[in-house]
Amino acid sequence: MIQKFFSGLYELFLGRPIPANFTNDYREVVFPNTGLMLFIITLAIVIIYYYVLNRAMSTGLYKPRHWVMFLILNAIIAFIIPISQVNGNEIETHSYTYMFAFVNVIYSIILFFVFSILLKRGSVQAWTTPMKWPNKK
Amino acid sequence: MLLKKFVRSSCLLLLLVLFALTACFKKQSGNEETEPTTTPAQVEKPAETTKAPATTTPAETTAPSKVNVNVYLEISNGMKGFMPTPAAGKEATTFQNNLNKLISEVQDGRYVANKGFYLAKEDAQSRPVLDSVSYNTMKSYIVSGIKDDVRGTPLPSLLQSALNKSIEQGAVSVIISDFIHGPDPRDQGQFISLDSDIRSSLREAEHQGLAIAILANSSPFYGTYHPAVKKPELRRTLNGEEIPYYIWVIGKQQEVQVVTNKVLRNLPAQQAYFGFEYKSIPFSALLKEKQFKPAGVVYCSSRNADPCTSVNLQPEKKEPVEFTIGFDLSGLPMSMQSIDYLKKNLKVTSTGSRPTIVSVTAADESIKATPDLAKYSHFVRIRVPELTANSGTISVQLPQVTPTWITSWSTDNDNNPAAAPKKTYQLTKIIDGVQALYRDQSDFVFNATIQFNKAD
Repeated sequence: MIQKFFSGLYELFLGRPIPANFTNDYREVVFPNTGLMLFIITLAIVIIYYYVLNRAMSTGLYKPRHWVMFLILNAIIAFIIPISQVNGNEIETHSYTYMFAFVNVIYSIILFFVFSILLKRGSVQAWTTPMKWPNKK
Repeated sequence: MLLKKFVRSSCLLLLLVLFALTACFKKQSGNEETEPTTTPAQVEKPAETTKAPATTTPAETTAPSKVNVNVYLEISNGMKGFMPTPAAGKEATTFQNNLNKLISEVQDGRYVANKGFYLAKEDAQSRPVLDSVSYNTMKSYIVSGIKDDVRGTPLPSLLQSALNKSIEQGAVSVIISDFIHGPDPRDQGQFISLDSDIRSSLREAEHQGLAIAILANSSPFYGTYHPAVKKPELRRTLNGEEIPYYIWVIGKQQEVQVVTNKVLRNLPAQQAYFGFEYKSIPFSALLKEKQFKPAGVVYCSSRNADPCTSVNLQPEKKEPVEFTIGFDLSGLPMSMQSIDYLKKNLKVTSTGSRPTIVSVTAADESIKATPDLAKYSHFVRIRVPELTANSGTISVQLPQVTPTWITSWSTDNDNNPAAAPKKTYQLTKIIDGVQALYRDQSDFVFNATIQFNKAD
């Protein structure tokens, strides 16, 4: 299930894995691993930003540029993970690998934004970061 | 100041989380390996992989380290010319050299357990007689010639009695003869029924599931030659013309191979094998090896199946699928392992696709040095330009073929060997008789089948 979901998610933009002889390595290992890590790490960073730094610790990192900083940090991680996954599973690197990393970055940005919108209401200092919508007060 | 500290510590925290997660997922991917995925072909896969090693092991274990060997040397007058009496300055014939090596290997070699040496002749009533002799007696026959006077060779009955004796003693028969049929002069009709006579004489071999290897060689011949066709000459005196002689090895396939590969060793180029079949040749589609990069969309149905016997593929018009299958053919008779032989005879058939063989190669030094590839001796590259069904099979087969040398070593008139050397009277007919034994057996020496599914 999870394998099918993530393979579909990445192959939607990337197409069939290249080189084709590693198709199963991508579908059974690299895609699900990368996808799961993307979800968990993005969620973790969002939680750290809103609940640790801007609630428990009150660090004053509530400005949009701080939020953007964390978004970029997450994007960098999202770029490194696919490449390390591909290398770690002894798959030949190909331009496909970098396209895959790039797509993963795009997903990380979207996901970071979505998690922010969903979770920011629980933050004390940063509930309006990056913007006030959809919270009302 | 405070801010910087927090940024630093949070980064550290993140890194830690990251490492922890990576560790977790490595493990998870390990678990995923065992999870079969949903397509039916892949569900079948594990069953096949477990079956493959199970079937290969008995074949390997039954390969005996020692075999019993009975050597039968025909000593009719027609054989005398192969074993001329020695004289100073006269070289030994090929026959003498080879036979000497053969019997000494049987006598002293480490691959032979019990041995027997028999001189095959016929009595006054044309019945075959097998004289059990010592190694030294047989050796003296070979090096110093035949003193007895034995007229003919009733080929079928000779084969039959030798075979029955070996079966009784559980030994591999090694029969050495010129295989010139010499029936009773009053019963020349035997020539006409030679093939069926040979067949009936060897029927025990079929019943016992024995295989036959025939090795043909020729040797200079000095002395009186008795052709099967008695016209125009009843006999001729030859002085070094090449006359063929044959070594027939009959026994269980594994044991015959021990004899041909380890006891006889340097085999002549003319070899023929009957009743040889390999039910479980180790093979695998090689899809991730750098030396054999596949082309087009093709991948193993299961991610880390070893051996991989099921593939997914999707040939495109512009990009036909090409991939290599590795085979371990080291168990086959030597002549069948030659690249020329395989190139000529290997076939690829398929249901659901139209494959062709691109190339056949043997393992070279660099491949032997690669651990994953060292277990394969031959590599066959297959091209699949199109599929005609969504799933099917691709089979690489080696058919049972009669070697071409048999026709060129056969003649219908062996009266003048000087004009037509290295020919035996009606050899094709003799071989036909042997082949008839194995008519109902598989048509293939081996058959390796790979399942395929259209890639999704």
